[in-house]
Amino acid sequence: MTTLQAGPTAPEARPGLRGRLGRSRSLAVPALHVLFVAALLGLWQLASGRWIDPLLVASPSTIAQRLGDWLGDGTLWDNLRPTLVALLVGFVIGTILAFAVAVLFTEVPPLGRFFENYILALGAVPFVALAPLLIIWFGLGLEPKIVVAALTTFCSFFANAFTGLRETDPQLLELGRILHASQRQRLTKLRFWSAMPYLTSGVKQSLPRAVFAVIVIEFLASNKGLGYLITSSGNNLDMPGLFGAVIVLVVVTQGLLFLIRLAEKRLLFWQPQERR
Amino acid sequence: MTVRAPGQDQDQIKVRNEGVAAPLGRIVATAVEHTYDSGGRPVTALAETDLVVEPGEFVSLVGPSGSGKTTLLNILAGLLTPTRGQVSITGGATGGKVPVVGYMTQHDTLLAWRTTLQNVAFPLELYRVPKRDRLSRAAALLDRVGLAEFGGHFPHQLSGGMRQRASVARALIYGPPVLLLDEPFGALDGATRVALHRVLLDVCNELGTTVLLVTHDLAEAVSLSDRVLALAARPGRVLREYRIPRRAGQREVRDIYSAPELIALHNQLRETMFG
Repeated sequence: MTTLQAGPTAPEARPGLRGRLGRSRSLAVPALHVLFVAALLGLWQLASGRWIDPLLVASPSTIAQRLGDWLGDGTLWDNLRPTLVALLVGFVIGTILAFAVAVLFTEVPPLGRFFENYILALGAVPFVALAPLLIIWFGLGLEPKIVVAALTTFCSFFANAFTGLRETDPQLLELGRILHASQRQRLTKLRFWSAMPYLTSGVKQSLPRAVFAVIVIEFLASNKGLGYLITSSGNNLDMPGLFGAVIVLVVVTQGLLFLIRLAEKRLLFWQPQERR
Repeated sequence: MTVRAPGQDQDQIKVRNEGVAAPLGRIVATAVEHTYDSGGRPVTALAETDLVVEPGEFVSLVGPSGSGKTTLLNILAGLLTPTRGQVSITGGATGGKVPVVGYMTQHDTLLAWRTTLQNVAFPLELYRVPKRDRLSRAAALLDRVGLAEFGGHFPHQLSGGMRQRASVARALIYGPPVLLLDEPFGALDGATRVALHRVLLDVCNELGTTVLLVTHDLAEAVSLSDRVLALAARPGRVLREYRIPRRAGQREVRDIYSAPELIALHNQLRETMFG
């Protein structure tokens, strides 16, 4: 997962300007990360069985073997899919709802002033604590996970979206009035873009929270999913399985965050380099 | 007093760009007064003021802070409704889709996420001018203000003077008969200033735009304007008016250091302002 992170932080290669130096530097940084992770795994492998009890901490080779088995017999995909589906569906629903409410509150300020604190207070509720209730309501399937992911995302993303839309530079809004922009144009052409840095960072903050919420629900009550895989491996004292499932979870989360950062880079292309 | 009905936005732009002579851009403010509430106490930002600016005229407003200069511009731009009095600008109803005034405020309001070209074309995008059309018009105007090569740059990649040029272009792109400028050159160095004066005078002369300029620089006011209004503060009001003799369209800030009548006016104005 560390190698994935290296992408966006690596300086952009500008062949025309920097020439060879730029290109070799942009390759050197990811290469260093690969080297570092490889060294870490090597050390771990070396330590396992010598200084670390493999019954407590699985070695990289046994984890890799287990992941290979799971990949082969479909266990991995069978458990990854429900987690991913619940996560993405809940996340998208939560984001869209939060954005819609933030727009409504921005466009109708009295409404925003009245309800804002309720929604922010809602953000302090740990929705995973509602798990028993949600499971009673929706059963053991995807639904309780989707609901929790959506609720968590909603509260987390709303704060960012509302702040971003509301804090649009008054001078830009004045420009909108000078140019006779319609209310809709002010929203789509001024507020939306001006809030973009808040929106992207809101998405980046909400995703790991949604992942956490889904996993906890799977811990508590489910018969499928990465969270289930982690708890069931733990219950069977299957260390390679437990470590493997956690690693898959981390890789998937980081992969999603990587995609988000990629999108962010495209959406914030206009910002000065040092502010990205 | 309104010459054009609203809704004929596209036509209006065309008329302006083809330079067809029409009595557009006449500003008439009658007994305009603006009072606002400051913690329960009424403050008069602008006391009863009458003002007529003829089409194509260049008028500067000078005065200390609190003399109602920006208030007057805000009223003319339709941002503020005066407490009393009336304002009319020939060229369209103030409620129309395309504004009759171009207004460059004190603040830098280029949109950070748009290139210079897209910024200049922005007003036309709001008025639903087709993309090719608006971009080619923006490019032509950018060329006119000397930014032809910077159309693809983002605002943060431009110097202060370039940003001001782009802002002037954006304020003029929809062909407003009146241009309001609120201290547009304040933060610029001398050379950049003079270059911008040149561009402004040229473009506005060519389009026949009526200009109302707020400035703190008396030399700038005297050298650019047909008329200078000296305002006083608390309450904001027009104190005196100076007519500047026109010299066959040849006006530059440096003239003030050579033309004796301008020097005399500048001194008079300074006495009015600073006692």
